[in-house]
Amino acid sequence: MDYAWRFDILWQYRDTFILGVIGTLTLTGLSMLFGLILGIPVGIGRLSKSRLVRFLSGAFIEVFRDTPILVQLVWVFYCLPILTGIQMSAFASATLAMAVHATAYLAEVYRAGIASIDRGQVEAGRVLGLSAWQTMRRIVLPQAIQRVIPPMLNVFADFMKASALASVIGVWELFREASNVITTTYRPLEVYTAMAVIYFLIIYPFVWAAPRFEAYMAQRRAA
Amino acid sequence: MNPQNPEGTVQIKDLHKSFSGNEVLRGIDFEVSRGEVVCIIGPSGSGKSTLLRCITLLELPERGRIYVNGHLVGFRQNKNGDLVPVSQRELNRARAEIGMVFQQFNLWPHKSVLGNLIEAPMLVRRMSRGQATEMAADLLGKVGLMEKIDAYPATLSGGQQQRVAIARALAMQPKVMLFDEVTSALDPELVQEVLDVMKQLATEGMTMLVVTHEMGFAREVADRVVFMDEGVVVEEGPPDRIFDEPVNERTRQFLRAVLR
Repeated sequence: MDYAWRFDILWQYRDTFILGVIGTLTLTGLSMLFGLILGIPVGIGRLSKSRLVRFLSGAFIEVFRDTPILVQLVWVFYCLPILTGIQMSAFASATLAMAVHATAYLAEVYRAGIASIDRGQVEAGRVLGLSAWQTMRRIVLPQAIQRVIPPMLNVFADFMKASALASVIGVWELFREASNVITTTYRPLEVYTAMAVIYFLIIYPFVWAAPRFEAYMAQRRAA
Repeated sequence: MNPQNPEGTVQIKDLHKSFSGNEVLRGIDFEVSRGEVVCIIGPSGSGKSTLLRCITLLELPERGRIYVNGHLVGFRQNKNGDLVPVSQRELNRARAEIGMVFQQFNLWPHKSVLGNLIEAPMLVRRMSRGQATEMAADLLGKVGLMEKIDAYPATLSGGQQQRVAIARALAMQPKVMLFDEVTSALDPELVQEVLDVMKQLATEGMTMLVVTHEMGFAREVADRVVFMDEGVVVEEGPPDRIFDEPVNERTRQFLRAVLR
């Protein structure tokens, strides 16, 4: 096969690619930010003494972890407006769907992190008179969060990949911006290849950092 | 015991506790007076640790009463005279009055030595950072670790960590201190430095309940030794009597095994 590659053509569309990267990073960043914050109460809820709270957070986590993100995206975009009468933009719909998905995923990560903290850490706080909440906030969470940073980085990388699905409902992120270039250049091989390389370049740093951060933390603990 | 001033006293009456049907404490009665050092000895599984955990309310007893500083802990009497558990807030307050040191130190690894010491005084006692830091420095001087004030727990030896843990408990100015096998996790050469700190505390008049396997310490420092087995107090008395002329056959067997 002797295909004449013409990557040089893509250079004039660099702004489009940059816009796409910004779209992908914004969508992933925003939804992860929500997930990082909302995942904490849901994750703690999973370990609650109250059976009702445990059930509710467990049900939330399972419903959103065990359905495809693509289905959630189209559901939020097409079904939610019909049921609520509120029509959101494609970007807002995608952010909402991915934020909920991220919350469910990260809640599980937080739960595992909290559960990994030795019981003695909690007891040391309680015997000194700290309340359950003070012990959680000052003793358990800071250690749990440090411990879950590596898995969080991996979740972030996964979500960056999944964000390409948002193109289905018309969000202007990397996949859609780049696909659009094909309609004007008729160069799908170059465009899809360039797209793959760009995705790799923005995702790999997170995957690269995860084990290194873990090693760094292990070293610091032992120091 | 001086009935006018119950501070630093502990009374335990008919204490029962079981875990999923397994009765670990089966009616414990004893008293500790102010400034007294009581060592609790006995085979593992005899309920010694559970007893301490009940006193500091990490476990709620299911029957019996515990008084610390003259106050009933964990429960209060309602109008009908029944015992009802107190609120979480009151539990927290009651725990702060009792110092507890664990076998595994349980220092907080993400905080410096100073951070470990000032956390509870600032959060629970609402002490200012300056005040708490001053007190922490005093306490570290007392346990001989002034130079480690900014170190992190992971950089300390086991003996140093345990001394920090003792200082951390003292920072809440408890009138009663509980020690749960605090030297059992230490390398043999590090045991003495911890025992020395405890000895000093005893001479300063602290009321201490010490669960220990260090028979030498019990003989030298304890005012009274309590031998527990299978969830009951089998025998108690001054150390010389318990160690040299134990009355009960189970006590004799245990001492033969550990003093060999």
